[in-house]
Amino acid sequence: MTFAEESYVDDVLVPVRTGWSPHRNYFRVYRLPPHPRQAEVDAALTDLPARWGTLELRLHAVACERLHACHSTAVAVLGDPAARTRHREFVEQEHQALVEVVRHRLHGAPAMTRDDVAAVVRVAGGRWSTPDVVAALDAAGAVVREPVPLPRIPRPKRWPTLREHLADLPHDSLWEYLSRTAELRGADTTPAEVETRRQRLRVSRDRAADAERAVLALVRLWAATPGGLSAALAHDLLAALAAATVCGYRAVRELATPQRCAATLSTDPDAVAYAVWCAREEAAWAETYFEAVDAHRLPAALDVLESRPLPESWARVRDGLRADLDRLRASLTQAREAEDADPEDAAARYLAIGRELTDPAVDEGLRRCPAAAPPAVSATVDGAAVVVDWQPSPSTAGNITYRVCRGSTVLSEKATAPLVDLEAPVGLPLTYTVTAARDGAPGGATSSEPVAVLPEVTDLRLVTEPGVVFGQWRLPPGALRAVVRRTGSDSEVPVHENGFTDRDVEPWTAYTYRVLVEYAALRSHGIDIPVVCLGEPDVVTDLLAVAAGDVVDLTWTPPRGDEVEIRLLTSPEAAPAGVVRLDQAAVAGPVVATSRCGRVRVPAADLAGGRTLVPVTVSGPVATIGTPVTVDISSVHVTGLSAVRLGPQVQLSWHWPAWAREVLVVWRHGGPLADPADPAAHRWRVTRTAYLSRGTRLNAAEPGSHWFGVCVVGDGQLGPLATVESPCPVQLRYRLHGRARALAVEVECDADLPDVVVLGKEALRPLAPDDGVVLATVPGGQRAGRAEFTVPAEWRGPVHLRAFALDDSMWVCHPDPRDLVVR
Amino acid sequence: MIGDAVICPYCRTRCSADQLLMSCGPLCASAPPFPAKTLRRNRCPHGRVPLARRVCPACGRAVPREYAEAPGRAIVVVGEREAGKSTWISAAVRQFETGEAALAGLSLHLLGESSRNRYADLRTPTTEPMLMSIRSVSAKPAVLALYELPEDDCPPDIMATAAGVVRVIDPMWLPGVRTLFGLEPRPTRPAPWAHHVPTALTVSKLDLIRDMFTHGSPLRRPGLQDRGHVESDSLDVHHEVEAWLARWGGIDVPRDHRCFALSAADGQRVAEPLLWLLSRLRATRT
Ligand SMILES: Nc1nc2c(ncn2[C@@H]2O[C@H](COP(=O)(O)OP(=O)(O)OP(=O)(O)O)[C@@H](O)[C@H]2O)c(=O)[nH]1
Ligand SMILES: [Mg+2]
Ligand SMILES: [Zn+2]
Ligand SMILES: [Zn+2]
Repeated sequence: MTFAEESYVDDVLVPVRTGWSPHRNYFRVYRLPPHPRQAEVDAALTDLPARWGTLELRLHAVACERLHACHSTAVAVLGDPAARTRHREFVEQEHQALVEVVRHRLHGAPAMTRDDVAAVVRVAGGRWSTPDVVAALDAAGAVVREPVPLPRIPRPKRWPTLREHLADLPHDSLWEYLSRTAELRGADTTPAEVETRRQRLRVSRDRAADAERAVLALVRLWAATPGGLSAALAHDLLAALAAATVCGYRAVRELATPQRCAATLSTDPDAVAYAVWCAREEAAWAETYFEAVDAHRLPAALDVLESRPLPESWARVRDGLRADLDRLRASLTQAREAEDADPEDAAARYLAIGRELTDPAVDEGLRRCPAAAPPAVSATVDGAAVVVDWQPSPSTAGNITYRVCRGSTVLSEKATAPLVDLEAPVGLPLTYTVTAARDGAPGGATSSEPVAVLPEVTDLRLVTEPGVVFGQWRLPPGALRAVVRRTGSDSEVPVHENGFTDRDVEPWTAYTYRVLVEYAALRSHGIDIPVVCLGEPDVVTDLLAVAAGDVVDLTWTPPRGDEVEIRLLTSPEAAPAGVVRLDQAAVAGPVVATSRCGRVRVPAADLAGGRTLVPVTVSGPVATIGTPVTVDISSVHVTGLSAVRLGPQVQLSWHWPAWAREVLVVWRHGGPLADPADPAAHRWRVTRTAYLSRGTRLNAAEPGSHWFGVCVVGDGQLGPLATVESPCPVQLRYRLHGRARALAVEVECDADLPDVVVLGKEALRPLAPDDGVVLATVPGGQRAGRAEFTVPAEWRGPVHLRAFALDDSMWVCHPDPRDLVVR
Repeated sequence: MIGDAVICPYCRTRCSADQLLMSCGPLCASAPPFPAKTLRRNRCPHGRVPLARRVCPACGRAVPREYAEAPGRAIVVVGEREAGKSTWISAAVRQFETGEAALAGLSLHLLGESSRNRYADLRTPTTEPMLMSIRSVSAKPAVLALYELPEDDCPPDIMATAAGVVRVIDPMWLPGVRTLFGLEPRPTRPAPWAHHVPTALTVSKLDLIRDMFTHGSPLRRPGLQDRGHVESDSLDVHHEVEAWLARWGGIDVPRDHRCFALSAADGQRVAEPLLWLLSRLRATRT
C-alpha cells in the first residue's frame, strides 16, 4: 500500500485534530481494507507510526501525537483476529447508523452541500467524521454538491394582491394561469394579448371574472417593463418551490417542471430544485433581510445578518453592508456640518443619502434646510380671472415645487407659473401667496400685492333721441349697482334697474357718460362712452344725383341729424312732409345708401332701373323727408366701343350703361365725326333688345376710313358721343376662265394692282401665298391684268385654286367657290 | 299620319304613332289612358273629345303632337367640355326667333314644357333633348330633337338614333392654334365614335381667331343667314375651314361632313350648321 499524503490528511489527520477519536476506526487510521491479511496488518502497524513523525506531516503534530497515544490499543485490536473482527463489526454498525441519519437529512434530495456535511459532523460531536458522512451519502445514493447560485428576484410590485385574486380562480400560480388560459401565452404573453383577454371578459360579471380582471391588470403592469413579466413568473416559481420544501425534496422537484424553469430562469429543473432545497433555511431570514434592504433600512438589515452564524457568501454580504452603513453615517455627519455654511449643499447631501438610507436624521436635516422663497410674486387681474406669476426659488437641490394660496385657500399644491385663478371672488381685495417646497417639504413663501376683480357692466348701450339720452346695461354677478356720471354735471345721473333716462341734456350737444360698478367694498374703474344728444333732423333740399358709367354719385350738404338715408322713391304720394316717425318715412321707398358725410356712390345696378331718389334725414326714431331728385343721365355714355370688319360690313359692339334703353348710331366715310348731327353722317337708332338679338352691322364697303359713333338717347337728349374708326381695304377682284385644265386669270382693281399669284394645291384650298404651287403670276402696276396657265395633268383632283395679292392690305374678292375647284 | 314610327325622344323606345297613349278629358273621371289607335272618329272610348297630349307607353312622358306627327329627327350636338355647345344652341335658337335667320322666312318653335325649360337653363348638363319645329314658308315643318352631349360621354343609344351631328370644335384646343398662341400643347384624343350620318364639323369661337384670316376669307364675312342656306357661300366656308383644320391638326374628319365656323358671341354664321342639316334632311326625306 502506498501512502497518499493528501487523502490521509483529509481522511484522518483533520478529523482527529477536530475531535474524532482514532479508536472509532482503526482500519482507516492504518489504511487497511475491511478484511486484511495478517502481513498487511503487521506492515501497517509498523509503517504508519513511522510516517507520523515525518517532515511532511509536521503541520499536524497535534493529530499525530493523538495517533501515537492510541497506537498501543490499535496494535492490540488489529493484531488479534477476533478483536479485529469485533472492531470491523462496530465500524460497520456505525456506518449503517450514519447512513440512516444521512437519509433522514436528505429527505429525498440527491446531494448535500459541504456546509450540510460539516453540520452533520459538528452535530455528531466526534462520533463521525467527514469521510464517514461522505461514505454514508454514497451508500444512500447521494453526493456532496454545491447548488447553483439562483438570481435574487425582488418581489414584483403589488405581489400579495395577486395571491388573493388567484385564490378566486382555478389556478394555483401565475404560471398556470398564463399558460392554461386561452389567448395568453405564458411568459411570452404580450400586452396586446392581455388587452384581447380583457375585452373578452368585459361581458362577464361574476366573482371569477372580477378576480381575473384584477390579475390581468397586474400582468399588464408587469408586462409594461421589459423582462418584467418573466421576473414575476420567476418569483412566482421560487416562492412556490420554497413553500414546497416542507414536504420534502421530491415535492420541490415535482413542482419544478422543465417548461416552467426554462421559461423563467433558464436553468434545468434539477439545479433549480436543488438550489431552492439548499436555501430552505436561509429563505426565512433572507426575506426579512431583503425587505429591510429594499426599504433602505440598512441597520435593520445588518441586524438580521449579525444575529446568526452565516455561510461564507453571506458573511461577505454582511461585511459590505457594514462598510456601507459606516460610509453613510459619515456622510450624515458631513451634511450636518455643511448646514450652516451652505444649506443648499447640505440639502443636496441629505437627499443623496436619503436615496440609500432611510433614517430620521435625513428628514430632520432636510427640515432644517428648507427651499428658499420665490423672489417675487405678482397678481394681475384679467377680466374675471387673476393671473398669478412668480420667479422661481433660487433653491435647486431636490424637486422644487410651488403651492399657491389665495388668502388661506389652497389653489394648487404643485403649480407651474403662471397660474390662472378663474374663481377669484369679485369685489374683494385678494392676496396670493406662493410657497416653495423641496421634495414636498414646505419652505419659504412670498405674497403678492393685493388685487381685486371688479368687472364692468356688459352690453352697455347708449341711445339718443331728440332731447334725451337712454342708457342700458347688464350688471355683472356680485355687483350692488351701477353708478353713472356725465360731463357737465357734478351729481350722479339717476339710475333705475339696469339703465337710465337722461332728459337733462341739450340737443346737438356732445357728452361723455361714465358707467361704474359698485361692489360691497370697492368700485370699478368705469367705462366711458361719448354721445351726441340728438335734436330734430334738418331737411335735405340740395341732393344731386349724377350717373357716370356704372355708378351714380350722390352729393348733398350734410344736415344736423344721425345720418341721411337715400331712398328710391317708389311711392311719392306716400312721402309725408315735416318731422315724422321713421317707419312713416320708410313707405317712400327702399333705402339704397346711407351716409353721414354728404357724399356717397351707388352702383347703378342697385337702383333696379329706378331713377328718382329722395334724401331722408334720420335722428333717432324720427326723420325728415327732403326734396326728391331724378338721376341726371345726360353724361352717360357707352364704353368699350369697337368695330370689327366682316367683309363689306362692320360689326359694332359696346357696353350698355344702366338706364340706357336706346342709342343713336352715326357713321360716315372719308372724315371724322364731329357730333351726332354731322350732315355727312348716316344715323340709325338701335334699341337694347335689337342689339341683343341681331347685333349692329353696317355696310361700309368703300375703300378708306369709316368713322362710327354711338351716343345714349335719354330724357329726349343725346349723351356724349363715343367714336371708333375702321378702314376699308382696297378691293381686288379676279375671275377664272377656260376649259378642263387650261385656264386664264383676269384681275382688276380700283387702284393700281400689286403683283398677284394664282396657287394650286391638291385636295385642300391654299391658305397663304406660300401654301401651294404658283401656277400663274400677274405683274402689278396696272388697273387690270391677265395670265394663262395649265393645271398639271398628273395632279389628282380635286385641285383647289386661289389667287393672292402680294400685298396684305388688299381685300381680294374671290369668285364663286365652285370655280376655284378643278376636278 | 297614324302608323308612322316614332322614337320617344326621352327613352328612345320605338313605337308606332298609334301606340302612343292618349288621355280622356275631365268629363270621363279618372279613366285610364288608351292607345291612339283606339280613337274612333277622334273620340275617346267614352265618345268624348280627348286631351291633345300623347304620352310614350314606355316612359309615360308627354310626346308633343308635332313631334309625333312629323317624325322627329335627332340631332346630336357633341364636343369637348366647354367647346361652346350650349352657347351655340342658344344663339342659334335666337337667330331663328328674332335674328337674321328670321328674315329668311324661317321660324322656330320649342315644343313642350320640357324643351322650353331646357332652353331657359342650358348651363346644367343633361341628356334631356330640346324639341323644336322649324317652319318655312315653302316647306313642311322640320321637327328636331337636339341633344347636347359631351364628346367623351355620349349614351350610345342616343348616338344610334341620330340623324345628324353637329360636332363643336373649340379652335383654342387645336395643336396648330395653340402653337400660334404660344400655349402649352395638349394631347388630342380621337373622337370616340365614328359618325355615319351627316356631320357639321363646326369651329366655334371664331371671334377669337378672326385676325388669322386675310380680308378675302369667307371667315371674315358675315354670312348670308338672311337668305337661308346658300350653297356657294357654304362651300366657300367648307373649303376654307377644311384647309385650316388640316393645317391645325387634331381632328379626324368623318366621311359625310361639311365644315363650318361661327361665333356665337358675335352672331356670325351661327345658323349655318342647322340650315345645312335641314337641307340635308329634307333632301333625304322619302
Ligand atoms: N369668345 C367666345 N367665347 C365663347 C363662344 N361660345 C362660347 N364661348 C365661351 O366658351 C365657354 C364654354 O361655353 P359653353 O357654351 O358653356 O360650352 P359647352 O360646350 O356647352 O360646355 P359644357 O356643356 O360644359 O361641356 C363659355 O365661357 C362661353 O362664354 C364664342 O362664340 N366666342
Ligand atoms: Mg353645355
Ligand atoms: Zn319614352
Ligand atoms: Zn273618355
